[in-house]
Amino acid sequence: MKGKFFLMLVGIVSLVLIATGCESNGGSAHSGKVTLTILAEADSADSLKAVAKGYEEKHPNVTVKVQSYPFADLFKQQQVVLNAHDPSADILYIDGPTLPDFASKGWIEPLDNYIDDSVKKEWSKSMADEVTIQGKLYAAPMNSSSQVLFYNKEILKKNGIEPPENDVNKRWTWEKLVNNAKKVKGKSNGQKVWGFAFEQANRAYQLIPLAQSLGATKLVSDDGLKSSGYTNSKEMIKAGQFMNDLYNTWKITPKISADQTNDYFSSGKLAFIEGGSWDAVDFKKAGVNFGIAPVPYFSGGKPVTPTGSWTLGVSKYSKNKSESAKLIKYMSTGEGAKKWFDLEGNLPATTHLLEQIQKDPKYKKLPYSASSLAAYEDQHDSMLRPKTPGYITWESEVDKAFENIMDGTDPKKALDESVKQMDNELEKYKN
Amino acid sequence: MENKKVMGKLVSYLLNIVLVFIVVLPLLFSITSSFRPHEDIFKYISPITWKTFIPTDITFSAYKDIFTESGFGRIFFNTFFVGIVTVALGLLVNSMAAFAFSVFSFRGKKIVFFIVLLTFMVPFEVIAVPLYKVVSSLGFIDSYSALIIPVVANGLVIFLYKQFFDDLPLSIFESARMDGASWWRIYYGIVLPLSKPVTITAGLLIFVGQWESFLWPLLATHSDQYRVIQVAMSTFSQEHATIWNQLFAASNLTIVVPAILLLFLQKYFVNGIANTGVKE
Repeated sequence: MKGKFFLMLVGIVSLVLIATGCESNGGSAHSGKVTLTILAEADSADSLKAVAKGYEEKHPNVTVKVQSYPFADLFKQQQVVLNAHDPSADILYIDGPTLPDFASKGWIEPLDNYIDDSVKKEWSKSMADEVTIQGKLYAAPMNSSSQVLFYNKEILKKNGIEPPENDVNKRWTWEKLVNNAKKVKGKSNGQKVWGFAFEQANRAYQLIPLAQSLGATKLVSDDGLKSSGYTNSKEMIKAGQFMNDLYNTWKITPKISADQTNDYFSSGKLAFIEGGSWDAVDFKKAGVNFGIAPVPYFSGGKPVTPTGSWTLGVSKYSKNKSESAKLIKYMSTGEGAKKWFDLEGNLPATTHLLEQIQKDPKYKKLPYSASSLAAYEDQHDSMLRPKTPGYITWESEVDKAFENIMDGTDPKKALDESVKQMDNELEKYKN
Repeated sequence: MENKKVMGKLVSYLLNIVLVFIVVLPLLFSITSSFRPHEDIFKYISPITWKTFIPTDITFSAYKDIFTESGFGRIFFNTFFVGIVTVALGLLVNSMAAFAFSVFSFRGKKIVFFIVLLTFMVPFEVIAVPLYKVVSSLGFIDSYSALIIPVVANGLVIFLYKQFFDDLPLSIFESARMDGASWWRIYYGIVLPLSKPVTITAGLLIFVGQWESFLWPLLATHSDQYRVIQVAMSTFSQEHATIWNQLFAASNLTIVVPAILLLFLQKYFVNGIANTGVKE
């Protein structure tokens, strides 16, 4: 009987040894054939595959593998793979504002040696800026993003509100929007109808342009390592007070989370919503009778819209850096970028496509006119989120502050508290 | 006096009813919403009326879609397969380990057992990176092996079995040895048949653990072929939208499986836990 047990043990050990021996390696450079693996987000995976296919056809020695992960968990996955120095991942799909984090940890390769200035010129100004950190190029932008103001035509008509025009020269002020949203009364299907909401309620992406519209130019210090004095500036506090008033003084905004706001608008419970230009297609599908207008600004301030989106970077641990850089160059410019835009419909990152959208007759009518307006905004009024290696903490602290403000906390108190937490965290990034 | 008693009962019933409502309403909302068209989910949410909890426009499309569009057939198969194989291997390996800890004496036993205890107290996040490295160098990434093998050895299950084995009277082992039985035979011929309750408890622990496991499958697999249920549900929360009705439908089905298992096996489950704790 003892013999049997030993046999089993020997069996297990040899199995493990065989498995170890079988360790496979992503791409091997010597045979001329290269496999490039992209760690991507699930919703965009199919489009990435399709664009990569165009590249494969031109470069028969290259095979592209796209591994997809749920949106909310992509970063977690990449973090583990990069911390494990896993060479099997070559290209990473990265949200723009987290690039400084990837760069400061040494996870991604600077691309200045692989991608020259003529390529950078194809990207829109704001997106070229987003992928440049401390003067070095770290990624290629795939999308941009912008916001527009949507309104429900029927609710406005019912409440006698003159709708805003889709004309950047006749842009409403926030004061005018609030005055009109206050007029919204009554119920639909027995449900309360609200005046206004931000799609990404309490999220930094949509809310910092409020402060930027009031004149805030920097939200963190130039090296990205200090938030005190920037994130709690008087403009940020004023923006916070505006949010507080929306929820608590004027009570025109429902206290709901960001993943419910669009459903409120789709089901006719919201008169105005500031949302992504991409929402237009969904609102149309949901059968809402809506119109669009440019995002409002504070009277005395200037119009500012958010921007920034997904990028592709090359892993420091990849064994095929040069090949990877060529692939992302293809995907983010020219033919690749065009195909990507046709498939995804997101606001593009190249100047050429942004201008084309504004000229194309298809983009004169709803729902596509939202993209045309967004393309204009992206080129004229957009401001990036702050560049800091501690962006994830920064964002979650700002989100938290705005959530507290929604619940009635004094904006100065909420932001001061957040700044303290952020600066503690940013301390870690100082050498 | 009588009146007071009745009043007391009434109050306690009322309190219980309120508690039941608080617990059940969210579940009811999730069930209702899974039978609604996607646009209707937040339509009746404020103010809360009967319509919030009773669907007016019943549709099974969410349930249909998760199988036709999102491939939940394969996903359920994967999760069951991974769960059942882990249970089978886990019960065998862990009960043998516990048997050794309980019956044999060897040098360093206490330290080794202490390490076993530690393994189930360390949060998974701490070992995620080294584990990924090991599994990746074994070539297991994106395979069933990655989902099963690292999870087979389970400190908590070893602990449960050991507690149970420790309570078995020594005389059983002695007389069996006297009659010439090998340790191997004592293990599978005497000890295992006695351990039914603890085996069921352990099996449930392992199965439910795998059923609920999220972070490891997320890290260790990426093909649709090996996708398990928790990771699949996460894909309903997309960047700009949440597919609520499918998310609700999938989570309802996900709740049902462990709930049914517990319902049928709860008698043993409680027994198993109680038995392992009692010292004579």
